[in-house]
Amino acid sequence: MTEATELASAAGDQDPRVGLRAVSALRRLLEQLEAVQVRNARNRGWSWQEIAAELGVSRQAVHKKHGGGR
Amino acid sequence: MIGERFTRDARQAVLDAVKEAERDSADAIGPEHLLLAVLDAPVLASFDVPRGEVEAALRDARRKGGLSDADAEALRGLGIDVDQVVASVERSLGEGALAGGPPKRRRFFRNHLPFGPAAKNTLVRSLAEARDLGHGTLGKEHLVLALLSAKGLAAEVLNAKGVTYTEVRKRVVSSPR
Repeated sequence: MTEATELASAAGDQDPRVGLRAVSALRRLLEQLEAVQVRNARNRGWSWQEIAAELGVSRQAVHKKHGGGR
Repeated sequence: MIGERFTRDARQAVLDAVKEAERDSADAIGPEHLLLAVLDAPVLASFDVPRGEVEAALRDARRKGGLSDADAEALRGLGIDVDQVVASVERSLGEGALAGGPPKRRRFFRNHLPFGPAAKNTLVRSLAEARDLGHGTLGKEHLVLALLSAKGLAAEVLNAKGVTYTEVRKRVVSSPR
């Protein structure tokens, strides 16, 4: 923790820590949501291609990220 | 080799963490498993950290996809209600949906659960804590300090119970070795 961030925090309003913390939490929530939705789609027989199209990413990307365990 | 300077207690804690992870059907050992394994550390005796409450806090966080109370608070600042998100996902996909699926069974040839990156970092960090304190051996108290020094669920659960890095370190420094 640098002195600058300490000061920013003392200043209250625009504490970068609060904003960054929220981004980090949101990213983790997003990852969990993606995992659970992809799993559900797979359980319902969706192809990787179909899932990738909905997520707006390549089939390879989605398979690499979520396909490893099976 | 990291292991050679571990006290018997610290070794036992690592073995206990493996058991906690197995009981959890986890894919890997995480800091939260180490946390459960060091709750009986003498340095924590003067704090009030009942195992049941720690387990409940971890369970609650897992149901929220691994998000802690502090994470939920941060998201509330963005206008996102994590409880509502969890409720909505559970309504459509079943209770505990965000807690992750069944464990991936890929350990046909390996009987040991691997340490996850965060748990590995904790072990490395505990060594640094012992070194900083000038201690020649690594005990449970150093594992506790390592857990507290990292950002994450384990530290937050402890912090919520009033167990902070600063307080624990004070006790470690003043306790006889």
